[in-house]
Amino acid sequence: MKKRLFLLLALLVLLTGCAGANKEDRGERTLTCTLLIECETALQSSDLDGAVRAVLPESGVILEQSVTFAEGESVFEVLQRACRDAGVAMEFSDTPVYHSAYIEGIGHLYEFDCGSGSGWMYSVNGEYPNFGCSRYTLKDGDAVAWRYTCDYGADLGHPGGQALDE
Amino acid sequence: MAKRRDILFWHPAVSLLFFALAIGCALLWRHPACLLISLVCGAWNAMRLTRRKRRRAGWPVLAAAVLLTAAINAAFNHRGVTRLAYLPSGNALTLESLLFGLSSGLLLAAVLLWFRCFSRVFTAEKWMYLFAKATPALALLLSMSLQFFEKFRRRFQKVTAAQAALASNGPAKERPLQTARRSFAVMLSWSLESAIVTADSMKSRGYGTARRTAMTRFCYTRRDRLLTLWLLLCGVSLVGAAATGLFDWRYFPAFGGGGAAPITGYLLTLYFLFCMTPLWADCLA
Repeated sequence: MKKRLFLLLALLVLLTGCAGANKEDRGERTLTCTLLIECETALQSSDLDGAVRAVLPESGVILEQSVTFAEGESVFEVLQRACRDAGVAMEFSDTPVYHSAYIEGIGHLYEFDCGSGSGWMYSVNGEYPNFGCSRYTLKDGDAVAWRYTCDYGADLGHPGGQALDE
Repeated sequence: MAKRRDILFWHPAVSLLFFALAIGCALLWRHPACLLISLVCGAWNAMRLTRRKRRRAGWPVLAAAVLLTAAINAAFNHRGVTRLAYLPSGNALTLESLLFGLSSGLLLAAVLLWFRCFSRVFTAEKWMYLFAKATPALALLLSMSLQFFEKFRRRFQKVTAAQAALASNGPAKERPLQTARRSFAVMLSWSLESAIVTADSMKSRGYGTARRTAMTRFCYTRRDRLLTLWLLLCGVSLVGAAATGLFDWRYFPAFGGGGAAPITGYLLTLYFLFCMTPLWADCLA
């Protein structure tokens, strides 16, 4: 009996213990931005697994829409809400100490699916900020784009890997 | 022994081949049918090799391990196309991650069951017989250290029983910590003493003075030859099938396999027959 209780408790801790990253809405959603999620580079890559390719859209555009958000919301919060509303799968890992979320996969396409240099990157108004998406606070009219890279951002016109070396 | 359990009398090399193949297959294949076969056959073999009294032991632990593995996987793995709910962490709970966790748990259970059979069949004598010639020192070391666990367990049971008997006769109830400390001290001196006795008796019997032979002799009979042939045949065809991807199964992003070709069916039947070798070899004998 004790053993069973212990197991149940352990399960509960496991299921609830993971820190909550989603915050409550901060107010009226009056501001708007555009959100684009695309993975054209992955579709062109030969490393991509056939089963993953099968669940990706042929055009490479997973989501393209305008999103309303509240003052002070971050790129991450907007992405999470938009993905939930549109039914797009999205997985992230959260590091509460740094208040930082890392996007592991969107739409069943994950980091490292196209080699060691592949993963999701975000840009705001065409520029790639080199810090976490949950630290970037959006302004009205921003254009957010999530793009899949196969080579540390070089194939997106952003020398991300080299920037880290310097 | 009420029934003659034939696998106990196979030649050590043959039973080692059988278990190496069985455990390897159970460990590597995630095809649901393969999992089911290895689990059922492993459980059945373990039942057959266990004394009636102890047959019921260990099942709750296995079941808990399976469920816990499934739960842990679902809590930390969020891949898969079938979303069931959102976890408090904000990531999704998916059917595929549950299935993957369940399959991992069943795989673990199957391997544990096969190892239970292995330890029952493959006694220290067989280890010594097979490996004593090639590496005498290592074989001796292995067999001595492996028997140590069981010996230690038995001795510990005796000591705790004696301590409990003493405590029930004593005037006042002792604190449990003190009892544990005394049991530990007794165990330590007993083990050291018996190690010295073993070393002395080995020395006086002339250990290490000349080449040794194994204590038990096993004959490689006609039945063993036939069994070796059958096991090799199974091994080659099953490993070949796995190498060509016939037993592949995919859990992410969607649960599915490479179609139900008739050859997969034949090979699964072969796998089942292979896992059940002890039964029908017993019936033929």
